[in-house]
Amino acid sequence: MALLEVKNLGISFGGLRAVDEFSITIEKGQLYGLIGPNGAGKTTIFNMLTGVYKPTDGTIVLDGKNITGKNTIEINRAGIARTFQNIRLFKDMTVLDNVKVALHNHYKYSTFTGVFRLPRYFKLEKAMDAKALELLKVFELDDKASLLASGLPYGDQRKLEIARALATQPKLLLLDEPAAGMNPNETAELMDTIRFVRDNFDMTVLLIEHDMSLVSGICEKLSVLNFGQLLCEGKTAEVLKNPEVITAYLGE
Amino acid sequence: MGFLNNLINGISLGSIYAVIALGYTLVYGIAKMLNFAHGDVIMVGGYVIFTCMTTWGLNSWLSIVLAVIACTLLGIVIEKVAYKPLRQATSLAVLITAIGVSYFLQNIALLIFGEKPVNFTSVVNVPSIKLFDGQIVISGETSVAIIVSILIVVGLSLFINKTKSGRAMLAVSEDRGAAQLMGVNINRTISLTFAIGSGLAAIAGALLCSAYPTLQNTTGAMPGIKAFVAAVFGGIGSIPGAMIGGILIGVIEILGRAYISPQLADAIVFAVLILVLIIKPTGILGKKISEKV
Repeated sequence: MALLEVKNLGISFGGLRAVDEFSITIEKGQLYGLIGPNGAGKTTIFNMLTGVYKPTDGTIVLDGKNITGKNTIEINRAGIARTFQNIRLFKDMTVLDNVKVALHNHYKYSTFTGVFRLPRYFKLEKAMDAKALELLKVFELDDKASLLASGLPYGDQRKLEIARALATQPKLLLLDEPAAGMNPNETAELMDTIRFVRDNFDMTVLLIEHDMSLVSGICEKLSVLNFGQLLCEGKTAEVLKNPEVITAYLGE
Repeated sequence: MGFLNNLINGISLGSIYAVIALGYTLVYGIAKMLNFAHGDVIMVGGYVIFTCMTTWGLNSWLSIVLAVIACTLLGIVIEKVAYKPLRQATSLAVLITAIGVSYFLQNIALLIFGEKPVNFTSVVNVPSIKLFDGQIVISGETSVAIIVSILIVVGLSLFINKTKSGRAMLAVSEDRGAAQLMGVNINRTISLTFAIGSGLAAIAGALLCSAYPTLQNTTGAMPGIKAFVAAVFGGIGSIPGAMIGGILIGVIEILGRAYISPQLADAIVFAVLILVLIIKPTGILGKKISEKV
């Protein structure tokens, strides 16, 4: 059974049909790319998948569970986490605390326990620290755990966003333009990181990207979106050779 | 010695303002709204203590605990009923609603307790400290106000920076959307913020009414507004800022009353607000928001 099955997804903003009849099926463990010209509706699809927007039509099924129209928290708990096109870290919090916020739902103690510092508070905070550091280590950020997130260089901020998203322990990770603003070296490093995450966390990844070196380098399958509609889908190499896709990107 | 006495009184009044300002700053930082009904929750706290102690004859500790519980619940209810439906509305709509809630509380109190001020029995039972052969007298209310406010600031900072709920509050304050997508429950976090702010208001009510023992339905209004000035002065959204702003406003008010003019003391406080807004709009500890170009 596929991990994510989206059927005939559509959304209208007033009279504007931003996304129409969009379907996608992603198998567990796949690295899947969603590409298309600017304004094609890629981020809108991410917003529908995470519950920020409520789709007007269609269904979203994650791991056999219908999550269409659920709110962001329910969807996050069901197992979808994301990063943002424009980095949205908690800038005035430490690197460690950014990850710990995302661990929120997996380490439960009451506010009362926190205020009066009962033994459970110390036990769980310690466990959260350990878990967060373990995640940060994957991204080589563990030695920067006590810095403010705003103090990290750009590439590290992108990595921290991925670490934070993974901390919610998702089944599906959505990356919105993870390589935006990176130089070729950083992009190559990011590709290794994404592969590593997929292999070591049993993760399924859907990413939006404009950087074709990253797309052709790691994505196994692609869907191409143009004017809110699916233009074509298939194996990466075949899709990138498709004349319609080339036209959509470069014009006639 | 007169100056030192005034200074101590100023710090004491300022400590009370600081506790009130913490409520303003907390709610502003996290829910991004100015809860102008905050001052009136202080008055409600005062009346709950008054009823418990004077009408029912309970002891002061139990009365304070009951007032904290009552105000905490009141804060949660106000947020649910009045502010939550306006989560997506403009800030002006929320502001006006807050003023409406403020008048509502004042008039409910008027209806129940009448317009005649009641005599509040101090909850503080601590002897005053006499220094320099009695030239400087620090009343029990004064020392208790100062100590309680310090404990609250330290406790609140620890809570916010070191616990799960506190981290959720910080995350919501920075980026509500991103926090939500990381699984933080926004509604619960905002509700908790109002609960804490209003619980603090009850404590502020106990301190305020003990130091200035007349209680009527408008008792919370003026201190509430001055504490708001204090929060802006210190940098709204900042916890240490609320403490510093509160104490400075208290000292300015008492010194202004003693050395400039008793009638002008309030005007001086608001002149400070205007000066702050002109010179450093973000307040003493407020963050400068620099636009990236």
